[in-house]
Amino acid sequence: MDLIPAELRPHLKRLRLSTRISAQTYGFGLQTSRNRGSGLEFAQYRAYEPGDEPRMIDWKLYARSDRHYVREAERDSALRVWVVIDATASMAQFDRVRPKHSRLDSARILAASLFEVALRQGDRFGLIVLGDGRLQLTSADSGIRQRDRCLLTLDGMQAGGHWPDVAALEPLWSRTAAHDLIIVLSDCFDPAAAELMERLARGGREVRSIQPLCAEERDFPYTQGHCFFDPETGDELLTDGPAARERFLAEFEAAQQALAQRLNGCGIAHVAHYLDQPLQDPLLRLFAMNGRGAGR
Amino acid sequence: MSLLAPLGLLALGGLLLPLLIHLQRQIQREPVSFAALRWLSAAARPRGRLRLQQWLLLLLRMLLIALMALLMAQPVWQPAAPDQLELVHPALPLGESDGQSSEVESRWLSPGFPPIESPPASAVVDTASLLREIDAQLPLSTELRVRLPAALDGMDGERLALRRQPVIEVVQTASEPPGRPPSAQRWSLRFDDPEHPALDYLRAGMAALSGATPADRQPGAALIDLDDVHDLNAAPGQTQVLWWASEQNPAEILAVADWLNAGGVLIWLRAQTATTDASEAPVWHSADGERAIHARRVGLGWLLQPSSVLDAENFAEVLQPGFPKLLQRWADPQPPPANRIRADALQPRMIEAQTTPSPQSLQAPLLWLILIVLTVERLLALGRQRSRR
Repeated sequence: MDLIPAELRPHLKRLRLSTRISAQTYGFGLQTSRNRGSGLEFAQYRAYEPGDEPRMIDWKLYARSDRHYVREAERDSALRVWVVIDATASMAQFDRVRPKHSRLDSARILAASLFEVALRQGDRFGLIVLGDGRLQLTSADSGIRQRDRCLLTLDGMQAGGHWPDVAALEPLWSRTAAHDLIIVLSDCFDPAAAELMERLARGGREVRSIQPLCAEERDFPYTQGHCFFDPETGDELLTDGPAARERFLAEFEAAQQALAQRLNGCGIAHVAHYLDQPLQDPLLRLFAMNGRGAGR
Repeated sequence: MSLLAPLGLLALGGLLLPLLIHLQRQIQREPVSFAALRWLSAAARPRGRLRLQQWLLLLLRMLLIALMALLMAQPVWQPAAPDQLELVHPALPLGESDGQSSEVESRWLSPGFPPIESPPASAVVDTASLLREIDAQLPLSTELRVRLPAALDGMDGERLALRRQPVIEVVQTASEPPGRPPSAQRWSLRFDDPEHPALDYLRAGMAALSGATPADRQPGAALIDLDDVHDLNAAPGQTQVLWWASEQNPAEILAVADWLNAGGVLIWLRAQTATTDASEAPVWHSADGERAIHARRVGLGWLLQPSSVLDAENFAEVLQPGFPKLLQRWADPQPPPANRIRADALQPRMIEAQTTPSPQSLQAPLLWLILIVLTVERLLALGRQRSRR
């Protein structure tokens, strides 16, 4: 069983998981990485960006050129990558034209791809599944066995239940540390999701968010009256498709924009991914090795 | 077109059924999972607008129910009656003008009243019954013309009673009406005792029938070629009528029994009074009913026996002048049809019967139509289901 579809796999070579804030104190990884940061071998100078630590600035060069430059060196990787998957009931939503592919399925493929990239980079990676009111954690480690462990968890994952409460989320704080890369795969329909990401970002974690959305939520193609129900809350609503369309699209769009603004305001790179679009798009936008990814 | 049971149209109320079904489909009962429900407003209620799906299917179903209601109402069709109708007896040959005059519709006087262009089925028809039938079928405004042959077969015991006075045209046909024509017959006389009391009378009667010369022959009488043999065992040969003056049973002689079975007519004249089966109908009986001749079928032939000895003492007719004709009549036990009359004597009695003309039922074509519509509806509905799947 291979979760990653064949057409996605070649794109994985162009991905690199990295954090904006260089990790200095996390020791040496197993393999040399191309990541730049503080380290032994000088790599290059680059222009200062907000968020860079002041002590990384080469003050002698500043004296010469009157500009802030940051010394970058080849960093020996010790990046810790966490993939947080929202497995609440709303993630089971799928498009009627493609009933076998739910939001959770796409999240699963994205997570498997990220593990593949992390494995290639020699990073440590872990999986956190939030669903059914609890938190399921696969602790971070590196290596092929760790990847298989994570894939096994992904395989048995079922969408259902609610977002866990604050007490249940406690391991998220104790097991992750500042400068960890946390990639959240959630539809963010529950306000608690955005709240959690905000708090993680404020806690020094490097948070990226991929939001899988259905094409039906973008297009609202219902032409008849339907009885809609929310799988998470169980609420039902009887309404007429074409009549409700305009207002729903406007409100949904506004909500998504507000969410993106809120997350961007906290320095969280946020990408929406519609299920009928290629899966590599959000990965390339966030983690492309060359060119400017959304995260940089 | 009219309806026999107009209350059946109440079933048209069933038209509401497909309408309701198609409206019911409008709001799908199964709820649609929609996670982004919190941004969906409840402002638009779907029941505000009645929209019908699948117009063609709905129309077909309504048509189906309307047809079924019509079927329950039992529609009938009254074909338009012509002003004049000419009926031609099938025994008549077709003249030059027949079937060509366009203003008068001509039909054969035979079952079903086929048009004159088609060949008639049979020349022998139940004329009286057919006349009554067409009289009851046609409205009184239609004038009926009937062309009949002079000798009209197919009448029955009751005098013809019709609602209208038909115009009867009697056509003299060259050919004789069907029946047995008198022709040359070969009679044989067999006896074992020359002193048999009936022999003299028989010979005299037969001589009177055949006459000395053909000119003497009575008109209409049979040509008799008499074969008078004093031997019971002589083969009958080409004989058609065998007069058997003996006490011996003719069935005991093989040649005679075979001949009788093959269609011969044998008159057994016994010296003693014959004991006859009372159940047998006499083919002839005397005016006072004391003397009779009973006939019985033997194979294809006839065996006749007088009820008493054929002599002057017991059988008074032997002395009467009509005896030769009586002989001839006995020799032809199949009587001429009693249902034959002269056509010019046909005078139908007028009656005032309120018979409504029988209309044609439209049920069979309606049923076929319903079947066709049902098939189309099923094909359409199943096709849609399949395409949805």
